[in-house]
Amino acid sequence: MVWHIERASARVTRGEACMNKKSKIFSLGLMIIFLSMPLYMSYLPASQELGVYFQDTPGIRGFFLWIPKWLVKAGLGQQAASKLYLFIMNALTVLISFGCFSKMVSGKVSALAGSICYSFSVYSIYIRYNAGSMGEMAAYALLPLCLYGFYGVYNSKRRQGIWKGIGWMMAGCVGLIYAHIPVALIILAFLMLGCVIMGRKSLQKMRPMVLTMGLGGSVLLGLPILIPYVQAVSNEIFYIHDNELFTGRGLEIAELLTSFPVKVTAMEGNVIKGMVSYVPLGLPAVVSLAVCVVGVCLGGNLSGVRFGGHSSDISKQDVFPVGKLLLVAGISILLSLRVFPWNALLAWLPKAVSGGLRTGLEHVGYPHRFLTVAILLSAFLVALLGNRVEEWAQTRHKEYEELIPGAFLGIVIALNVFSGVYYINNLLYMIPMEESITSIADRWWLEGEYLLYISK
Amino acid sequence: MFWKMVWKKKSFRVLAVLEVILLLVGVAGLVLPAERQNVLPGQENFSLNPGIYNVEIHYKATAEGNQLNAYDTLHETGTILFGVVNLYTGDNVEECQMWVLRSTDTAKVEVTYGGSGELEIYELSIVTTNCAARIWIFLVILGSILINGLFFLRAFDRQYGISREQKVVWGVLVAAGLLSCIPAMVNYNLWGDDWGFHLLRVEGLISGLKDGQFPVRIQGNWLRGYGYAVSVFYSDMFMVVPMVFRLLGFTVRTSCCLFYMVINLATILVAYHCFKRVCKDRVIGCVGAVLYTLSAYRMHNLFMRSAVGESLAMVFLPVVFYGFYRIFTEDIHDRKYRGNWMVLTLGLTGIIQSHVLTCEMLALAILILCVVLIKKVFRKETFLVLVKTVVVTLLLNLWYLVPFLDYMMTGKFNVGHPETMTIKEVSDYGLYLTHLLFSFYGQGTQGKIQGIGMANTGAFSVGVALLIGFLGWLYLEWTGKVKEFNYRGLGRLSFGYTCLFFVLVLDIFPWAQIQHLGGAAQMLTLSLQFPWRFLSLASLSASVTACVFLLYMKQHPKKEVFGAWAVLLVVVSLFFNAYQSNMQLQTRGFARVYNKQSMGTIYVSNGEYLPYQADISLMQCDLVVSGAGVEVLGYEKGQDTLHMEITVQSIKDQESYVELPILYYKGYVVKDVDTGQRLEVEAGDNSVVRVLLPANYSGTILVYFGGLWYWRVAEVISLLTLAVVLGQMGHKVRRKRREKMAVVEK
Repeated sequence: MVWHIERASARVTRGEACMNKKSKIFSLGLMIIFLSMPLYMSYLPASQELGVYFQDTPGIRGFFLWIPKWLVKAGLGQQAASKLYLFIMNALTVLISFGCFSKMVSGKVSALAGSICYSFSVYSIYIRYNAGSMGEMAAYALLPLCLYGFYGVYNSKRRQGIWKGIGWMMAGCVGLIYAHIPVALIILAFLMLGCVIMGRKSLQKMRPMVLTMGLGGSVLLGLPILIPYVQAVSNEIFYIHDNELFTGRGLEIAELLTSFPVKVTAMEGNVIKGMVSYVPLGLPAVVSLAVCVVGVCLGGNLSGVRFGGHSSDISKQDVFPVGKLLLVAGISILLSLRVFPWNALLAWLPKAVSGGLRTGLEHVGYPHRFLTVAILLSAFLVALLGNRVEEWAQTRHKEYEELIPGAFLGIVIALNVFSGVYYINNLLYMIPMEESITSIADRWWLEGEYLLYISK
Repeated sequence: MFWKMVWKKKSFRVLAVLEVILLLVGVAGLVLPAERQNVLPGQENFSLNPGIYNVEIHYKATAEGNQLNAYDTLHETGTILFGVVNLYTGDNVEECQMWVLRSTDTAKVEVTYGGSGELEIYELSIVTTNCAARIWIFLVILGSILINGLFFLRAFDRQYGISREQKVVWGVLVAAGLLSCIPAMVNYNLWGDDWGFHLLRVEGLISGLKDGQFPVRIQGNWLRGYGYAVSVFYSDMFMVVPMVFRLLGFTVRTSCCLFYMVINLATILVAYHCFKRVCKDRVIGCVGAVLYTLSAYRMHNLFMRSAVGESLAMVFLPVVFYGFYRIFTEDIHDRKYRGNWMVLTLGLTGIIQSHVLTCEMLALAILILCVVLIKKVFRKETFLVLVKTVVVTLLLNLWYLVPFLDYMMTGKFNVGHPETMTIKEVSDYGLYLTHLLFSFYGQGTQGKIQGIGMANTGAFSVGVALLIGFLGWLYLEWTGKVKEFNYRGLGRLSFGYTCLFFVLVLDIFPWAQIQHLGGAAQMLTLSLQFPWRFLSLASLSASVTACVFLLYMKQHPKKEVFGAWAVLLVVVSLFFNAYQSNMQLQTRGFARVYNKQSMGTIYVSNGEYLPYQADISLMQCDLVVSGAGVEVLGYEKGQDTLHMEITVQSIKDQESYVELPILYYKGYVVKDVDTGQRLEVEAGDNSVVRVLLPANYSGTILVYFGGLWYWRVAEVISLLTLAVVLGQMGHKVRRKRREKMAVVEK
């Protein structure tokens, strides 16, 4: 990669710090193998929802949703096509997140730690093996590109760097639009929020123009799918058919902070009505956010990025003050909660605006989708923390410069084992085997959950 | 010197006197006379003191369904341990053990009429026994060994000093050993798949010995007294341990729990000594032993599957590994090299006596090992040692192998015939790769893997800690870091074995094709039943891999790196084992069985050792069928004995027969009680014993299982071999001691 982004930490140089190639391949390969754990069976736990993607019906279908369909048309069984698609998405998630984090931080294990947290987050597992949401998992894989691009735009001192940054951001955003429109809507909104939060920096140099072009360009490139989507929206085709409105599907705070996510059996009287799930943040995200909040409160320093605002002695690398990252993550968490006063907001807004917002929210579907931002940022914070730990070990405890980062990585892995890996295990342990995905798909088709994506 | 020094301590002498007094109290209990208390069926509120009793009932029943029960009407459970006893048809006397844990004035003995036929109670009484005194003596001896052992250790530490490393290692071993026993530290038994089967084996061993069989071949307590040849096919040698607990007077439940604990403690100690000797490092030996003992599959095997034989075999697998390690790595020119057959013989004998199927799997592993190390195998010295190992092992186990092979080759049994087996397709039990990567195991369930998938899956993996060791070695290989490493050969071999066993357990392995080759292939695969049995070998090879990985880490210039890895592996192992044990205890069903009568008699598991197509439902008590012209005048047969006396009269001038309620296996002896004349015996309808009667025969016939003459020859050969082996071992020990003394003197 020719494009150079200044590292958050100038003291950890790339040459001495980065993992060697073989170690990288080994680690990433292992991550992909473990993330794809449920794919080595003769069935798929989320098959009832995956099957719907194979319905050969006309309608809006983003680029990524064509992949499994093409695979089936090429002669692969539905299940094999699903598994192959999932495997590709798992590999992309791991590789893209690691690639992006390793460009933003430079420690030996910090990018890997961030990538582990991102790939094995409960949310990541949920969309893959519980919801079976094929579009969303593609969007999830591309999401780090947006952060990486945004980082580039604000961190680069040179024009070329800014252009490349906006290029990556656009690639991410366009990918999101073609992968999963609800997530794309959320990310576009949060990118704009990011521009606002970055304050004066957004107005410096060529950034206003570049950002406008980037975001506008993304929408323009996404028009082939956005236009039929908007038409469908105007026809009041709703994404989810249940009696609860958007707010009602939000997370309880207890759900958000649950440590060991499980598949829960929903009972009605003595009759099992199915399995219900919620999407907690997961231990790694909770711990990293908590550590950073404490850090901000104590006014500590994280990889050259100052906690708690700007100080004149901090270099220009101070592009992502942790406080701002925490603020954005906090907003995304707040929006995912049931306590967020969406109804009051809709009532307070003018009717024209509230109508549009209500429709938009119904198309976002589930408030927990806002968590994608918090998950991404918490994984990035883990990478930054890792960088800080490595730097501390190198400068203060030279004799333990291998052991301390290793211990940090061990802690990160352990937190993920008790969170995302536990969740995969629980899903596999709890969900009964379903041999056929086609027969089940018919039932789900009738409920029309994925109507917008496959048919009018 | 040291002993004298300890004895001089006043505190030790006081302790020893106290122990002797406690022991004498127990001995006094042994000579107390038995007291009999007659009760009426249904009698309530009679008094019992704490102790172990026999409830004796003499009854006559003409139909099934009648039951005997004893309990405390006020406290219900926890005061009287008895269980429900089935009163089978016939004129019987039953002696059922009963444990009274605290004084009660509200005891009740209840006889429940089954609703059909006649039930007549002749006598019902409660008799005191000296079992409590036996248990007391056992506990005093056990406690004395523990306390005195600790006393000696303390004294030794003060006198000579025990290193910190040793203390930590033994602390970890004891902690891990205790942790592995948690599922057995309850007052019930978790409902293991083959739990009832093995408990019946224990009771069968007692009934076989009472029958006068030694060694026991056919156990008379099975199948409503028809007998089952489980001892011929499945060696009972180590079932002597729970049998001793039962004979001491412990309940079935407690004996089972204690036996499980013995298996776990034996596993960790044996594994420690083997790994320590291979790696020449206490810490690595300790880590390897902990990882092996707490491996997910082993824990699942023991507590959820109750695969006692397989778990026992896992005690000896490290010994086999250590034996081969010595043979293939030690200097062949050393004089001591010739004695290397001993360890391997011990390991192989242990496995043969524990679990035949493990032998089958081990044979494959040994074959591969010999092919891989073919050059070493054909070194003269090595070859001789290997031949000696094979010969001595065969001779030592001849007493078991001859009857086993005799039946397998001359008889026809359910084993190996899919039409009579519950498990018809081995490939249905092939695992997914997902199983091997799984971490948080629960109690698991039975059923075909291809039918139930991962839902409620059993622990079909070596576990996270061993997986870390395995992946650690893979990393070292991948990054090319082991090129100069001394143990790389062992590391590669164990890693390769682990990979091989992992492939063998997967559904991608063509088990179905192998099974359908027919003949021996079908026989072997069907008897294997579950491909995931290879995980026992995988647990061993992965443990060795983890040990070699730690050996590599030990080379690291910073000691902390090695320490960190060792601690990590132990902590991960302890954590995931604790999780697994918790899940087992929280979600698994359980049972409380106290005396043998409340266990039932028909749980033959897969029924492998039944004569081909024998129907269990037709095996009814007291079912004597006589041929044309034969009149049965009377007979006597206990419910858990194969001894039977029957008086018959043949009134026709032709040969006839009488069929007895005993399952036919080769080796039954039938003779006239008065004349000693031998009568012929063969398999009758539904494979029961059919005695052929000469024309006009009249008399009383005695039937018992006597075995065959060449079995006796085999037993004598094994005994002689054992004497020679023990002699050689003694000689070796003496020589070692002499050498040690010589060094000290120098």
